[in-house]
Amino acid sequence: MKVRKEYLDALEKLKKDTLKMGELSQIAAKNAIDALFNHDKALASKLIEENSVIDRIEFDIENQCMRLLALQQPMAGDLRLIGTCLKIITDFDRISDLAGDIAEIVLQIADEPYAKPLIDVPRISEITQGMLTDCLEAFATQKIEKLQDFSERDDMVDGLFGQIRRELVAIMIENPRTITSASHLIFIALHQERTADHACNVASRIVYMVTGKRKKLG
Amino acid sequence: MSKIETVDLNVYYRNGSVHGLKNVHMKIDANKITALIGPSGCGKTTFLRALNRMNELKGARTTGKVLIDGRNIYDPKEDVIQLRKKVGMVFQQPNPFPMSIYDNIAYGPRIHGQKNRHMDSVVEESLKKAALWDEVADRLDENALGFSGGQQQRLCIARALAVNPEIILLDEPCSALDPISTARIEELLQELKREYTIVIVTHNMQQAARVSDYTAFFYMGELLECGKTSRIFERPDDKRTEDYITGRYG
Amino acid sequence: MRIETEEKLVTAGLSATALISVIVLFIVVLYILLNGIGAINPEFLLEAPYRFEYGGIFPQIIGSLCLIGVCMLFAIPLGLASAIYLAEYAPDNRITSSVRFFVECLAGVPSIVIGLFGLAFLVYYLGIGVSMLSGGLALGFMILPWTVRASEEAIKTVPQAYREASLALGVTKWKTIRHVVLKSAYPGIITGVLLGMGKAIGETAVVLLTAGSGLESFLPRSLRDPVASLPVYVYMLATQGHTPDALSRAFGASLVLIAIFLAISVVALLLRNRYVKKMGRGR
Repeated sequence: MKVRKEYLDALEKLKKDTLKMGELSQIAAKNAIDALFNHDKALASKLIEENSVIDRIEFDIENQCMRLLALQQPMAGDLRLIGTCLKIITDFDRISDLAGDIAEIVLQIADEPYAKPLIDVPRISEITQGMLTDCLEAFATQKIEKLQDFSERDDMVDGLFGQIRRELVAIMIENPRTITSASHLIFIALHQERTADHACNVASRIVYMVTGKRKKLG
Repeated sequence: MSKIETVDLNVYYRNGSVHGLKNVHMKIDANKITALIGPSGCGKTTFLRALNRMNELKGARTTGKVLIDGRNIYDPKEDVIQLRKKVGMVFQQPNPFPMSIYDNIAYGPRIHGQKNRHMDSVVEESLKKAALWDEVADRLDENALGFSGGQQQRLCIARALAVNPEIILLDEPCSALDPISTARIEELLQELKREYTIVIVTHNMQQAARVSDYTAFFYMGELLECGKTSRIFERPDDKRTEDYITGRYG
Repeated sequence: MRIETEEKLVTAGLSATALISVIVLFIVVLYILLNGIGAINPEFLLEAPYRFEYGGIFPQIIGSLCLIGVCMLFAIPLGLASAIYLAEYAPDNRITSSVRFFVECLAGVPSIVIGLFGLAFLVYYLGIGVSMLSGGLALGFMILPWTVRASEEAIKTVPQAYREASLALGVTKWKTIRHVVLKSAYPGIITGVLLGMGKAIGETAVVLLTAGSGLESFLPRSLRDPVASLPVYVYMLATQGHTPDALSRAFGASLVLIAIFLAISVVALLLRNRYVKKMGRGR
């Protein structure tokens, strides 16, 4: 007879649902950049709709956590898991909101050529997607080796963002008529940089969940 | 120097056929509450009773040392009577004597030679320290058995305090009590630790987490882990401790 | 329906048997009362017998009381001490069980045999002679198992928790026994003592062989004097009485015997109850 079966099942469900939310927000971030790259307004609209699903999942996970805390007196590793879930769903929610913001911009600019060809934006996306994949894997497997270099990766993202900004500013100075579309691209890059920061937050939380020690990553 | 320190403590009972405690090394700090947790039969009560030599009543054999203020209480030259005055004990089931409240508290001091004319103040002070005075001040000559479980247990605490111990041992003191009485006694322990060193055995993990400064996890006669309560309940070192705390054990 | 009627039948049956026991007791007491009350008058109670069938039974009353006194003085301390040893100090081994077994065996020895033993050992061998001392001691031997057994049970009934609490306060074992265990056990011990006394006060065979013929018309002046006793007197009257009211005198003496026993019991029980209440009071 398994002891505390209901409790253990509830913990498993919590893990699964949190993982799912993370995956959904990761997909949203990817779709936003894909929509941008392919001038795909349909994809952008779909993304914005799906964000409300992610919001509902966040509420549901929060409820699950509160109920577990109130009724089951979790300790040690279980307690850290629940505390971590409560925090990283906020980060996932922000990531999907940022993807939505990018999608909103796409809806505005997709019908015209962009201020400059997209080179660094996809690069940032690649790095950020890698970070999110590693986070979700670490969350599922409780192995945190791949999270150790997040600071470096975040620095690369910051660097790329800086580059994009400089290039676009130069373009805007040269040709003031590009200011509107260029500034849109700057915002998109900024949203991506924020997404990478949130991925770092998630990584820090997962390190705490696994080891019990707090380490700031990024 | 720790208030209590055990060195290589082993306890055998049933003529050596049961090895109840195995090589326990532990330090207990003064004026702190140390909780002993672990599954049934793990040795935590045996350990507690080793601290005031109550295991001897069941014919147990003890090897190793138990140092209280640096002196080994198992040294043949040491006086068990003095030890038990210094180290008081409160049991799982409240066990006041079938006498009045006054006589219950006066029992210890009277036998140890306390004069009757100062007895009133001894009784009052003990009851006040046990947070029971206000409830029973006008009923001191009523039979102790007529009071509620929570009051009886506080009476037992007052009775133990009346002989001026330095250390108080409690063996699951709240397990027979309702939540409100339990909460009062937990509150009382927080007060008492200012003056006394407290060691408490508990089955109730949440109680250990609420009440104690240090927690020691016993398993199959061994001390597996001991440390600050906040750490033990947030990130224990030993997986067996974690399994027990999170209820996976069993 | 079957279960209900079964319940009712059982309840009725049990009540009936209880009632029968009470009725039997009543019949016996009533019979003695009715037959004996005629013989009761102040002379009967306060004078000495005259040619054993006349006069009073005062020496017999005093004699019985003295015998009980000696008996209790012997049996209570010895019984209590043995009980304390068996319950608190004796190791849990074959020797201890044997001791208990032998004490129980003593209870099974027929009273006439005890009387004979008393005669041979106390009266003749030790040379104490037929006397209050011999009678009291012999009675003491007889009721020893009851005092030991009842006291041991009473002591064992005291919860172990009290002992532990006392020891944990730094009180020695003996003081714990004295101040906690015995105090709690007193009601049970008293009950045991009363049981023994009940057996002793009416014991005829033992007394007949060791204490006196029962017809003495004088009061004892020392322990070595023979004493009269009510049971033996009743026996004598019933078997050798010639006068027409010999039988009613016998009933009268029996009545006095019962009355004495009841009086002592009531007093003892009242004291016991007052003690039990007192345990809850007092500074």
